[in-house]
Amino acid sequence: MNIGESFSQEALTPFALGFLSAYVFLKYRAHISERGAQISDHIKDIEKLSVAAVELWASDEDKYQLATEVQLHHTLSVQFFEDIRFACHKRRLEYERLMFDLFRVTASDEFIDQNACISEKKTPNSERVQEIIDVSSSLITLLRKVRADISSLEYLAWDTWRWLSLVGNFIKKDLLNP
Amino acid sequence: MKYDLGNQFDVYPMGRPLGAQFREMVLVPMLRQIERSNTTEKLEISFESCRSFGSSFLEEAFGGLVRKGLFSKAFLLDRLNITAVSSSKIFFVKMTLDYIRNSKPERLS
Repeated sequence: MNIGESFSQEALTPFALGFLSAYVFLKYRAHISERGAQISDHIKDIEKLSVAAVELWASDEDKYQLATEVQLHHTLSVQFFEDIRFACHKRRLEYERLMFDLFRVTASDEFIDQNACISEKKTPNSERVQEIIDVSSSLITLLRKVRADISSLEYLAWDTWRWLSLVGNFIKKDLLNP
Repeated sequence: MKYDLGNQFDVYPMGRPLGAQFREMVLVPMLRQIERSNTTEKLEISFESCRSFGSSFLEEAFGGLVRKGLFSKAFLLDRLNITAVSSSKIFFVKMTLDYIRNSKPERLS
């Protein structure tokens, strides 16, 4: 038998297709896993923000250090805002609303006033504390649902459609009309 | 018309007094200028160089434009362009637009 015949295109095509399919599948699984990890990290950032904010608004202690902790955790929690918002898919508007609410209840009004005395003591604000608890628990619950959703077939279909759209736009804008 | 909030005003804009100051000293004059011009020029405010924001600052500065009856929502959403590149700053851009959309003019007493 001719070696060339045994390695003919007909023999290699199913092998190549199988290899390519497995590669794409594994890459996509890695991508979903990475996205799930990103959402988990985001949940932790929100938990830390909520704990710091509750401590700030529930205590009558020196607020400067507590306020800076809230600021730190909020800054961390919005670093991947667009990515997480996209990952939320059908829940993105709800996610956006809850993130805005969380920012409002943790860092508004008397939070940091540039003219205020840093070491001024304040009275605990139980209403604000309850708002923080309500909003952060709703947000974390939503993110847990999103984390579960990203493994679904519906999400796969939507994610694939979005990727194809991006590729199409790239071809149209950058390659065909440079 | 462009304005860099971080480099030209404050890197850490926070608090209602500062928000009111920014609104009256920067936003209102620039928007009035655009309103009077017969062009489709927009005011572009860049958030990129700011390090952090206070919720009250954004509400007072931008939401206050509608709340105080200075400009209509339609005008602001058409002529005011708030920009940022990094994901963390985009959050504040969207929040600012949310404040503009959800603000209502105060009733005169």
